[in-house]
Amino acid sequence: MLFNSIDFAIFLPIFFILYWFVTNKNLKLQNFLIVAASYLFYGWWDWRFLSLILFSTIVDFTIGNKLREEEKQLKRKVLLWTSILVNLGFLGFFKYYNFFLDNFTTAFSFFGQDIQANSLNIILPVGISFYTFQTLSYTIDVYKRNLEPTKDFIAFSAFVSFFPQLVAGPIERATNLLPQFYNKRTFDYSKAVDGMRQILWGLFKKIVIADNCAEFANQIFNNSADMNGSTLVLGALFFTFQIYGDFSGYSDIAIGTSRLFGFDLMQNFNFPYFSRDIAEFWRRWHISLSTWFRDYLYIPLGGSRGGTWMKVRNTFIIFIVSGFWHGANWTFIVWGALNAIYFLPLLLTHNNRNNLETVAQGKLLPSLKELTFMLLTFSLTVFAWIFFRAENIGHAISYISEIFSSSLFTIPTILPRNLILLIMFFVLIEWLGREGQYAISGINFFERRAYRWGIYFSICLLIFLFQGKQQEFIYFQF
Amino acid sequence: MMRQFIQLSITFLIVLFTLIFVFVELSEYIVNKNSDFKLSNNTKYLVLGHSHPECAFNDSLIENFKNISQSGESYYYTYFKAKKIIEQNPSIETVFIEFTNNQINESMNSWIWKEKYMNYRYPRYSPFMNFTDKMVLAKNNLSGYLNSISLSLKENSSRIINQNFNYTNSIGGYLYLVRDKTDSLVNNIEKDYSLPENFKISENNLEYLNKIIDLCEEHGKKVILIRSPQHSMYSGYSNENIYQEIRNNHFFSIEYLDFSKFPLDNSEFGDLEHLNHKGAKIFSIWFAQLLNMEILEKSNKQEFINEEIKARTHNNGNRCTSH
Repeated sequence: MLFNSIDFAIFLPIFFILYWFVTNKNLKLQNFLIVAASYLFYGWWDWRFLSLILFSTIVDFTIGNKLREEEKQLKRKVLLWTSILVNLGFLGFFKYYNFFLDNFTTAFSFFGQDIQANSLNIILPVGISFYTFQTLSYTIDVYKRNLEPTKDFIAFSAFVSFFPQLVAGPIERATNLLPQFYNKRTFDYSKAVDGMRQILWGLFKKIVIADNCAEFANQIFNNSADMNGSTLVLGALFFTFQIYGDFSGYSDIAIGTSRLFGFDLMQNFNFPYFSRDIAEFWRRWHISLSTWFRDYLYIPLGGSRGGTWMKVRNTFIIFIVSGFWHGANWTFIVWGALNAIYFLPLLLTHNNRNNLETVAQGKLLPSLKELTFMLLTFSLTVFAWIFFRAENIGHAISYISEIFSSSLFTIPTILPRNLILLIMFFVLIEWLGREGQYAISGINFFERRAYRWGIYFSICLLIFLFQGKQQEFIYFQF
Repeated sequence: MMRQFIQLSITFLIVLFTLIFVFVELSEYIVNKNSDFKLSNNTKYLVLGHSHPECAFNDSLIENFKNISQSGESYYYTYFKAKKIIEQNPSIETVFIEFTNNQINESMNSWIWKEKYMNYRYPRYSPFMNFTDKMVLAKNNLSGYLNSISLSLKENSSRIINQNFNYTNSIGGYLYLVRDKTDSLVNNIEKDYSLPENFKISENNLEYLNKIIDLCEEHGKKVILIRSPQHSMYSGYSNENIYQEIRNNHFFSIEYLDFSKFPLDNSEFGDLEHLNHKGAKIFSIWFAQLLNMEILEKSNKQEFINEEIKARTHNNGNRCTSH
């Protein structure tokens, strides 16, 4: 079920009524309702893959409880690795099987050994990378004794399958989300209103910005051989806003929806395009994934504590794995490596934690220095997105080669003025609201409800008038 | 608190939908009131339909004749266009409506409510539709329809802002088709003209053909159904029996002129169902002569046409050998 569909518009109020009016007196029943609704939400796309979620849930619930009883370190390790292998095994099979097979056969052919291997026609289950990482966080935290394993199977199932963030995050930590299923939720008016506001802004990002940008980004990337340099730059810019609008829009809707039901999810995007260096960008982009990798991969590998070689190695590992998490394609690996290259100079010169606070905090405009660094970081990000969006490495290279040709200084052949104006408006609103959780969270500044409603109506009308052709959320494919 | 939240949410939604409804209705009202469908004063004949007549009737070669056919247009959308044109152009005496094999097929439904078609045509014709017409779309493709409403509001607002209410340039016209791929199509065709097992007719499309006919008759216009020239190997003929049955049962009282067997060479077809500019020129000049011979006054029109076609086939010898 898509958040921006009529199905969801019907599903949400029905769930709201059942949640707050029918099952509110019994926590177990309310959690069961969450599980049932989440399975319906997921099954709307393909019910067959519900078995994977259920299996993952049973495995991690059982292992979690075994870890509680087990004191011997070796056995605890075996249990942990069982969970990791089962979860990553599913992920590996559904997501990476064909990639490894193709690359092995190519490698063998390169050395003169032709081997026969048949790739499989595998459908990638929606959201598998997200819920796999979420359940893994539970087992790892239990193993590390950072979290008490749950005995409540329904609460655990609800934690794994919680529909607002099941298919595209934020990837919640068990330590944050799971305890919220143990306690009775009470309706909080201001939280619910804030949730609705965040949903509205998420819908604007997705339907107006991402879907409209997608149309032109697709057109330009799919026909890049026929486009001049300036159009290709525009294509990369459209994709830059598409992926941000799409993914952060989804996160906003997920967080807002959760707030309607009394849950707090972590912030997933914190105005990343206003970052002054790449390190800051990675503290603000897909925060739930970056921190997951930091806590469960980078730090166990030694983080930045060791010598230079170790820092370089760990940085490359975390960025390349992060790239590979996005998809089984060399383009994602190069995208990850490129970000590692951007990041390393900052790390090695100890400048990776220079910009911790919001840019131009408390001011309307940034300084010239801040603006320059923001533009520089943004340009590097746009450049890296070309690899992310391209079909393959060859496509990315030819795309970039054409950008750096004389045709860069010609007029773009595709120039959607309305969309450019919409993006400018969007960037302005995001800039003005950059100190909040999301761009329009500070709207309470207007004390009179009429003003606030005026803004909400305007956003609704903009969505209605400028909606793009409905596209699936990009991150569903990851 | 919960009560207040629900009350405010419902109020918000009611105000929002009312606002959108008012904007949509108001813009449609203004556009409808000011719409300009005026053709030149001497237009006596009008041809309506999809791509077949669009490519066949070169109206610059036929006196007092206007071709407003458009590719991919179902009778559903033609009806709204016809309504405005007939209302605003009293000089029109005769309306030719293309009625050919593919217009009875169920696939015409997708020409009515599939997003690709609806998004293109609904914004143009929404000001001229009533509630029942709109419900046809909403019932069959609600999400697509909602999307089309927004596109329609955008188009109508733009017309109002630019004070551009002229429709005559955007409602169709003769298409000068350069394509010439009939030989390759004929050579590669799989000669299977059997009717598909799951063949169904489009009730919706035929309902709106009826509405167009009623509309013309209400305004005292003569209505003639026509079938434009088609290549004999056109696969659309597979439903010929059902097509003739529908014509005889539903439209028996409406005059019908069949030009489908008009003799043309392969090089005069763009493909198996459309004439290219060469074919259109030959056919249009011949059609203009028919009008000059006062074909419309004759009682045995089809026999007359068949004779003309026969004589022409004979004179041309090997033209369109497939017929």
